[in-house]
Amino acid sequence: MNCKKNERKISDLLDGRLSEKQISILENHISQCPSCREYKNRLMILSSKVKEREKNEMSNDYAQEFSIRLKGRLLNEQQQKKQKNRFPGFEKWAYGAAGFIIVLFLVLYFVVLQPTSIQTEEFYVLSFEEAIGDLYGEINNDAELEELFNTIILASLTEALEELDQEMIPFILENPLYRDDLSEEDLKILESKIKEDIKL
Amino acid sequence: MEWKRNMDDLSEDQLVRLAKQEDVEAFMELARRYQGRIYNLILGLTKNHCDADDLAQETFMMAFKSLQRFKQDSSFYTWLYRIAVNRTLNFFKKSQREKKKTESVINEFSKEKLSVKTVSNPEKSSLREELRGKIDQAVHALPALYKTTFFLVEHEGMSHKKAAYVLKCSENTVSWRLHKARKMLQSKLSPYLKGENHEL
Repeated sequence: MNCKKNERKISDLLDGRLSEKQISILENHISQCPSCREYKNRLMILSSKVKEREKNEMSNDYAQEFSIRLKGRLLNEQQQKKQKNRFPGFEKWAYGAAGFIIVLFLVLYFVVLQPTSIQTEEFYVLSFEEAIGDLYGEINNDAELEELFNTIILASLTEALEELDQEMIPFILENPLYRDDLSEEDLKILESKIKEDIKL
Repeated sequence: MEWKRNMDDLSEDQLVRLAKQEDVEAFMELARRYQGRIYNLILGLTKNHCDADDLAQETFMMAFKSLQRFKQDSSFYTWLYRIAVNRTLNFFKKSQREKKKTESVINEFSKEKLSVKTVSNPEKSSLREELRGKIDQAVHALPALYKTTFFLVEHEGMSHKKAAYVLKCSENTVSWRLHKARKMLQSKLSPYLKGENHEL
């Protein structure tokens, strides 16, 4: 006999859930199996000890206090219910009216006011060369425009350079490649690279 | 006093009928009859007076609110009992404290389990007291559904059929949970249960 399966049967035996035949087979096994006998014995001790436990009684004072609190809550509940019932179906009507107003507003907005659709303006991202090319096209041979263009470029450069060390500005304006952290050798390499690029 | 005596004289069915018509006094009479038993049931499961008090109050409030749905196919007490057990089970599910408490009890218990083995020839009476305490701890440490099922059948002396009704499950489930609960308990309590002699 499988003793694992019998553990559940022993539990059912204690609760009187087995048939006479099942009891007879199980008892026969238990009488021959020390581990099942021990298991049954332990469960019986456990059961008797649990049943021995004293049931706490509510003291009279506590019972009275419990009743008073409960009655207060019940009366309060009843009062709230009565207040709700004063306007039966009020909530339903309120939600219905709110929904109707929203729908009406939307209909009026779209039918009467007919809002124009929002159009997004198209914009292009131009490369620096394209932008400069366009500008030079506009300037063409107009000396006045060219002077104006140069003034603007210079003004924006000055503005950008304002945050730099003031002593450095004349050097940078004179030579845009000027970098105080570049050695003469570095500059020569740069110059040769630029010349190579121009040739290409 | 005359009125109170009248309420005392009314049968459970009569009180239920009046309570269904929102008679708070009739419901309070029903509550007075069963509040002690409901409180004790919840206290036995939660082991905490504050929780038991809150849940017992909630049970009666819930019963009052849903009295219209009580079909009277069982006694009012069984119906109330069912609400109490299910509210307590919900409380266990929601409360993370239960899990933490369980873990700490198991840890504490497993430490103490070792110390018992080292005690030589302890006094029998003190061991019995200790056993009762340990049984309480171990039962309380069981998972909520196993604990509740075990408590209803073993402590409250409920049949499997009634426990199945209260717990909204089948009798087979009750039997299975009991078997698992007993197995867990006998395994945790084995050092204590071995020492006891029990007449079969």
